[in-house]
Amino acid sequence: MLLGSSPPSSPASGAGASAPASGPSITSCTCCAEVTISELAFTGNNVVENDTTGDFRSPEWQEGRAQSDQSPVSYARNRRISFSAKFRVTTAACLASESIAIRGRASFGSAALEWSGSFNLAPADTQATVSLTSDNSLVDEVGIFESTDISWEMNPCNMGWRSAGTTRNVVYVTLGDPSDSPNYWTLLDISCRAAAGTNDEESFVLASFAPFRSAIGDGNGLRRKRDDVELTYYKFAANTATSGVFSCSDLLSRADGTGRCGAWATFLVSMHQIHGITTSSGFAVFPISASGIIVKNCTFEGAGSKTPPFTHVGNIECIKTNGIPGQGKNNPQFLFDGHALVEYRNKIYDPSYGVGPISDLRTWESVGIEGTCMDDFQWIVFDGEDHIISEECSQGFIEYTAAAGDTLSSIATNFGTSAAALIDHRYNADFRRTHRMPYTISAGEKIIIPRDISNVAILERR
Amino acid sequence: MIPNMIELELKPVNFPLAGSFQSIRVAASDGNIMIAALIDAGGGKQTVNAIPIEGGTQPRLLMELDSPFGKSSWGIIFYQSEFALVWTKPGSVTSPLGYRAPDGKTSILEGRYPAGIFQSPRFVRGKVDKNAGITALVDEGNYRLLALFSRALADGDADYVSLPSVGAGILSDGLLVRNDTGYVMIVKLLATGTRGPDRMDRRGESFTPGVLRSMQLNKKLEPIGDVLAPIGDTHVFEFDVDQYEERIFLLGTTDKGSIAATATVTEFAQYWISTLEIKTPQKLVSPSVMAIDKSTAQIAAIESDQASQVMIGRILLQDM
Repeated sequence: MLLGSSPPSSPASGAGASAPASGPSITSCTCCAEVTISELAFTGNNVVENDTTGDFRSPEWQEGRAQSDQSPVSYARNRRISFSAKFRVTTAACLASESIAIRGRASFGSAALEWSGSFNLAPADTQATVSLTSDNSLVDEVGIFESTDISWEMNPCNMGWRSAGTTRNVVYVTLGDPSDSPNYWTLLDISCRAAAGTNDEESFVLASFAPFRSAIGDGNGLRRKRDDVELTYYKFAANTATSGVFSCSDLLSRADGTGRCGAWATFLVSMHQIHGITTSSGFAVFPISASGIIVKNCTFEGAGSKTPPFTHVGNIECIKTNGIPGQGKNNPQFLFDGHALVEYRNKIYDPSYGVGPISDLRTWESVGIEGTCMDDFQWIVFDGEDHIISEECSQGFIEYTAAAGDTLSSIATNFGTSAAALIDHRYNADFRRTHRMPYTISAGEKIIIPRDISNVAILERR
Repeated sequence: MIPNMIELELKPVNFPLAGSFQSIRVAASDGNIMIAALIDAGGGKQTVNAIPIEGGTQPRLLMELDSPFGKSSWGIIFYQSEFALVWTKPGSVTSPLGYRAPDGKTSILEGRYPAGIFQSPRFVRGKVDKNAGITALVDEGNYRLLALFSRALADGDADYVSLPSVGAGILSDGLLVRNDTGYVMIVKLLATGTRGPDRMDRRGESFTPGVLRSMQLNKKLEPIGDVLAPIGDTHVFEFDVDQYEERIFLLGTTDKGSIAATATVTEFAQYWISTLEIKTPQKLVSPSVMAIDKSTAQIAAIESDQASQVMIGRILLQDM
């Protein structure tokens, strides 16, 4: 407590050299009160959701709480940071009313922010609260600030600035405000970290997909923030659950952190949506003339023993080999009845396998699909896990129905092959058997367009 | 009668092939109480079978489920000697619903939603006939809601209506109970805050702990009154409900064992009382309830570990 003493010897600029602000000297009190920061309740922020366990609590910073338990906060770029700041009185006021100026300062990248305000304290006051807004805005780019402190100072009765504590919250800066998705912590962390520095949609989408490319294979998976569980694609191969594995919230809520392709597609779309991007969307592809699609890698041995076009017996003539890894998983399930992908501005992303951007579906198909199959499924063991394969596998084809005016030559040309190659292919043995040379085709008749001699797409978008 | 005391009893019963039971439902067919059991038939196949509740005989095959890409969730309803069945056919991207009508005809329930993801199908309980409606969870965008299919179930083209939301939270299960004045909807929302580990059932499916919320609906499916918490904020893995006249019975599986609750439903309100959790040494899965009269419900559950016993018992209400 100061009783008629000299002003502090190291004042902040413009304030400390003055005499005590009020009251007579020697026999009366001068300004006594001192405070320290005790709570910050952020406002105007996009509340962060703790990966399906509920919103992070406010006040986001609280004195005495471990740093790891302080809540993360999220703002869109170019926003000012506001909060209700509570100060705890550490030395009571001795005058009837003492004015205390306070300020906080922090640098978020190139943005220097300052908050300033004041309040009056009476001797009985034990705390004071003031609403503050930063003088400057956050930077114009995506970012994450994990070790930025706000340094607080107080200036009681203009006697000079002195420390009033520090606060730290992880601050996520997004491209825009969230739209149509809860502001999940894991999505924020992955995207803001990977796309830091971006300030346009295309750059953000490209940069934020980078972690998906490197998260493939056992042990490499993205991590869920709330419990550090690895997020995976078909973690248990064919024994991966079928309930609660289709959505982003499923990936973030399930204890095992695994999901199917739909979960990963909605995960990526939601990650865009929390940045205000609403132009990406999930879609699904399905085989055109088959029941299932076979993801690489499988070896088709010989010509196959079964009737064309599903000529190869699974696990005997169509042999599974080490395949394309998925999110956090070597050799995920490799036979599906469809697959979920994401499209953004005519580019395709496959988050399940960390592939993208790809220019078109045809390219994706050639990169990832080994063939197709019928639904005569059997279970096999590969790499120590249960998988599904089919008794009837094909290297891929479609069944084309001739339209009026079609000829074998025109059909072949249309699919980038020759009439001779088309007719001579083993998949068209039945056509040869039921037609006479010289072969012709009539409207309404069917012929197989094999993938290995043509440019046919064997999957379609629905 | 307004019950003042609720008792819950469960004891193990030996059933043939109980080790292959993946989930069960208590039901009555032609006046006989039975267990309908989903059985692992090997090679990724599942069958639905019927066994008298007193055991002693081999299961009787009702139907083989067509679901090549994973285990089904299912519901069954008996009406006299006929039965209807609904089950999920989870694929890689979508999860349509299979439906077996009482006359034996099978179809895809909701062909008009080719990209649909439907989960946890259940028949509407309580005052229903063999053409009871079906509820299921459906994904719409980033959100999951409870839907009711009530028309043209056997046509392969049924449409659904969305049921009202009980408020903030992620839906993970739900059902409808029908009575003379409307419905009671009971849903499970994922627990917020500290959440215990998931529990895995005999199918290999896992259940995240959640809380139950109850909402009364009129005949137009419009909300009546407040959203209630039938068992407070006790976390459950799974639950089932049935109704007899104005009395609802609820059974849930918890970390400690099981919990039972009952409600009296009037035209404008629902009044819930509940038990404390009953401890059982076993971890229970697949709880099932069938109301017998206004004071008794038959219940069943499966022990989830290797020993795999079927637990049979009753919820009893007593007026003090």
